[in-house]
Amino acid sequence: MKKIGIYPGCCFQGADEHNYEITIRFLENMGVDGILLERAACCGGGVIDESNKLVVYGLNARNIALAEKEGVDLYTPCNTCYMIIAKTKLALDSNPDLKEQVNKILADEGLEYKGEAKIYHTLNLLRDFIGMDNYKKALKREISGVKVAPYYGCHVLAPNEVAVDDPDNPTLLKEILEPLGVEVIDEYQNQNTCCGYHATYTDNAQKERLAIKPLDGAKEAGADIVATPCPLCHKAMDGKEEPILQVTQLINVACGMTPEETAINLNKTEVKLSI
Amino acid sequence: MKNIKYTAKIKRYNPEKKESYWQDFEVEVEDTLTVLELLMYIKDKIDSTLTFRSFCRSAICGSCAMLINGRSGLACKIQAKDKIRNGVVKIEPLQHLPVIKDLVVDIDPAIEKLKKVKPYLEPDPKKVPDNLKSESLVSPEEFAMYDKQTDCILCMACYGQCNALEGDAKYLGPLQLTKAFRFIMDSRDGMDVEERINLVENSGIYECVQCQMCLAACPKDIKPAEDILGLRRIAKDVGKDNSATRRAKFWFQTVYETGQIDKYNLPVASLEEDGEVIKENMEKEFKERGLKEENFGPQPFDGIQDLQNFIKKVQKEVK
Amino acid sequence: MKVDVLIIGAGGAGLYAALSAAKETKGLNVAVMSKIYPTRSHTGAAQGGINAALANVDPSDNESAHTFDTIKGSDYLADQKAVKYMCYEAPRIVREMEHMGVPFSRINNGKIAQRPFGGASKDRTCYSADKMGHVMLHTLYEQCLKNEVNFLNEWFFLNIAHDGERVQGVSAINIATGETQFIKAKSVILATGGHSRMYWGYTSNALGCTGDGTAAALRAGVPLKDMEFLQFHPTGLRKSAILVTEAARGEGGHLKNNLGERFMSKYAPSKMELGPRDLVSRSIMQEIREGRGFKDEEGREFVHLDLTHLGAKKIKERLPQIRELAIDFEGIDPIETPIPIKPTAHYAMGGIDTNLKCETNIEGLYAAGESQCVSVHGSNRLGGNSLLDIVVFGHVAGLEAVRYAEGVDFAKGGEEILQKDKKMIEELMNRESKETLGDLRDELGEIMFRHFGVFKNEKEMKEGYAKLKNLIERANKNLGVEDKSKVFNLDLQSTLEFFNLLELADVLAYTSLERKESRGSFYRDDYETRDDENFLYHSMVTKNSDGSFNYEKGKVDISMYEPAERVY
Repeated sequence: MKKIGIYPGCCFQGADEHNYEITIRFLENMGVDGILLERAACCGGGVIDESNKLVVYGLNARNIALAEKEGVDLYTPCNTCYMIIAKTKLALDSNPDLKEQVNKILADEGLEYKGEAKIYHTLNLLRDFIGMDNYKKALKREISGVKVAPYYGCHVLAPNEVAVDDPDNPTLLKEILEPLGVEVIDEYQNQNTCCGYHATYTDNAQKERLAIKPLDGAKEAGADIVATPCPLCHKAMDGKEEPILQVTQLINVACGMTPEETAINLNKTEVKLSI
Repeated sequence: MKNIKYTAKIKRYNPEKKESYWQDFEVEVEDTLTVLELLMYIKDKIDSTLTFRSFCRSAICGSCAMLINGRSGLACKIQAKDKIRNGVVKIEPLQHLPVIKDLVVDIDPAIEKLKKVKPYLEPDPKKVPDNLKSESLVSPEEFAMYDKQTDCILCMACYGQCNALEGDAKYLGPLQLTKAFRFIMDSRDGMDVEERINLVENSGIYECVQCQMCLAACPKDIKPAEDILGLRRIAKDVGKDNSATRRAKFWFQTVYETGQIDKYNLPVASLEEDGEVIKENMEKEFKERGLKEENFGPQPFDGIQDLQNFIKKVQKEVK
Repeated sequence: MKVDVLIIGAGGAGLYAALSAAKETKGLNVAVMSKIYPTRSHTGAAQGGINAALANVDPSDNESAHTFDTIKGSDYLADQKAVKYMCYEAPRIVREMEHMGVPFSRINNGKIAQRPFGGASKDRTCYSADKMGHVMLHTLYEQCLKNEVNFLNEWFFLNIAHDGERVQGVSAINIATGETQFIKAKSVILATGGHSRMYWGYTSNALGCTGDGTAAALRAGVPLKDMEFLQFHPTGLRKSAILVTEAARGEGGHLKNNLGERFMSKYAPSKMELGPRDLVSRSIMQEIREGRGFKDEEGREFVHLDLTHLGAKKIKERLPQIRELAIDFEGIDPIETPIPIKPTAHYAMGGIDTNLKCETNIEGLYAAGESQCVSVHGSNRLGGNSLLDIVVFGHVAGLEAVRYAEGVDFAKGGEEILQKDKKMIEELMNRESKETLGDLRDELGEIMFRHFGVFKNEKEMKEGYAKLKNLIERANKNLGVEDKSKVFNLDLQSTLEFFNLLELADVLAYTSLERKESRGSFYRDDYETRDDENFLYHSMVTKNSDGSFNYEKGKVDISMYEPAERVY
């Protein structure tokens, strides 16, 4: 069985504990053995930068090194963790001096950042690690009669150098949703507007103004639910009129799990799936 | 080089009729055309009323920023053939600025916001000589602190792609904040850092959602979102105490202590009283779900000292 | 509308004039009018640097050496006192800009960095990587915001009104509304830039470098000086003619022909690639003529500018923009591949005749920058001297315009020019276009490059002039504006710009035929040498009402250095 290192971000914590469950079951369903990188630390969330940018590079070099020590690639379901870790990888790989300095310190823990491990997010994991054919083979049933609006979230499409798909015209999420048997609503108003999650604790009103926009757009276009790969987007946008789910939750259902088994019952806005 | 056929789908606006509409132009042109050259071709050969700004053709004047396939960029710098999707290149005016005609937008509102950050050097008399016999001495390292930011050409591509502006039209904007950062980092600047920070606190650095779209938009590879983090870094020390500065301190502290951000206590640490309600709701939810109290927040993993030593060393040793 | 001091153009010259005027005046209203946003101005495209004998890198440099290099580079056509003034002002004005916040690159002791440049005997060119003009333009704009200079952005300047003695104001179109308006002014500074766009597809210049001020000056009876002198920059990109800065050679880039030879060894054995621009341009064309150039599928001929030996680090650090341009517009990375280049029409030495105080023959009317001809560049400008020229004389013009305006009231009248302008515009708007602007513009470029290019001779120029006259006639008859709307009518603006180019091309062709020698950028293969006995003069042209020209010979100031042969 293929192995992958699961990076535990804050999306696995406390109120969001079930996200770990969703993730591990998703990997199981795909026939992948997920190894939790227990000693990994926060990616910085774009906030540690406000204290010290070099610490962010350090933390994520260490996170990647933990995966490398296990001989696995690194997978995170979170858009933001993905973006920050992938950006760190680019910075380290293009700056041998930085890499050397960080490695000197990592050696204390018996770790080394080699730059070998790939960084995966659900979207490119399905395409590049699992393979779309294997993905489709793993699906057991169709989720029919539901219109789904794909919502990527920002950090898998920007900045350009870490984008998992063509940032101008991404199709990957649609390609992942279609085999589930759902009807994909491909174009809707504000489909690229940010969910605002990262303003939650600095300017919550800003978050609220943003989060509603893609949901309203999707609703107007006739979508029954919005599907996002990102647990943070999910968190920011759940609780409004239009329901939102994580793609992995839908995949788990299509792989035969009940909605409760993949935490759909915990959604603030109720979702009814006809299976 | 060869000729290729495709459709240029252009969003037009007729200010005299106040009418907005899409128009398709079928073209067969050289495959080496930039989007600007494509527009010039259409204006020269098909429809001379098509209106867009252009000047230098070489990505330095900043006139021709527009939305190409929904993304901001300079028309002169982007190859049209790279943007063909299903036989179509979609071209629209920049977002967040009033459209004057076709692809021309009014950039004055963004310039007015720029003025709010006092986008100019206030020479520091300790650093800048008061006579013209000599120049200020600036080490190459000091210069490197703001070199990249001075590449900004005010093209407004980042402004047109900014999600914070999508949420609040009053938000200052990415290029404006990069400009503010550039002057704070300039060792010749004599304005109090505190004053410069005060200029960017309202409708400014804390409204940024860190979506990274400005990085994707900038034709000069400037990173406004990172400059905004830089401004927050400075504000943490000199600015007003607020939810964001408290968040930053708490985040660092709990990551240091446990390896993770403590999202259970974060609302109160950051929002103070306003956070109590959030915390109460969380508690209620946790109890309903039967979560154990020690799992409300993160627990340090075994050997957390290793991480703490690591962080300390990085802070001290990495340059 | 009334403005005390009105500056037309918002490039380096216009903004410096505005700043100096705003700082100098006690209460006069200073405004800058530009057909674009100020920071779009073509000053921003200047890459390499600005010359000033700071002696930071080479302690033996001084203002006198800078003066001599400039005079020699001009092939002795520059006015020597004017050159001296500029070169002695240079260190002061560079420091003044540094104090304003211009981010200059630095050497290790913290002083402004300087690099070698074509035609200079010392490492004299101050720089900011390869974006000197950009950072200067933006810093000057920032300072204008600080000093609350008024801006009339996106106004298209049409004509100068004067009463035969004094300036009364100008007419202009407010592009946003389409209204043609008269703006009364006590003093007016023309800082409208160059006119190399007459070489349409063969120029490094921005689309708007159409000599609007220079053409208006000609129409107002101001003499144009040395219009036959237009510099070809040796290194324009093959396809777009966009400029690759001289800094690429200053940093050690090699020019190579199809045999891989550094051919400059034949033409400038001591300075090699850093010979003056006119010489390097001719050398490239000579190689191409003699079959040692390259040719692409579309028949475009070129040579190589090879930077590959400089290494990735140096290219990324010192020439980042060049690399970006080569990648975006030629699709090649100069770290790995030589850049295909050819000479490109780049800079107009000629322009509006002024004295050292930037005064024209009309009281209250000044000119500065590339539109002006003092003359400090003579028949050939040295790299790094244009950014210097625009700020030194922008500064002078700003001060002089304020001093003049402070002593006078507004001149009476002038509004009547509006009727003429409105009628002219109405005619263009109503005319059915029989030929397109795009086609005519391309034709102008072809005529100018083929017949008035790097190499010229009597026969080709006469043929070219006949073609040009025919083109002018057709444009006057057949060219109308197709966009009939008022708001933001750039079709109208481009048409008016094209007519300005035609007017100036006419002068350039005329004066080129008159000058039967070779000097600096002006090279004829039927008169290959300089002829000081007969042609050491400034050509001065005014236009008669019937369209014919008056041609006069202006005296050249050679009070400091005797003209000598120019060897590099």
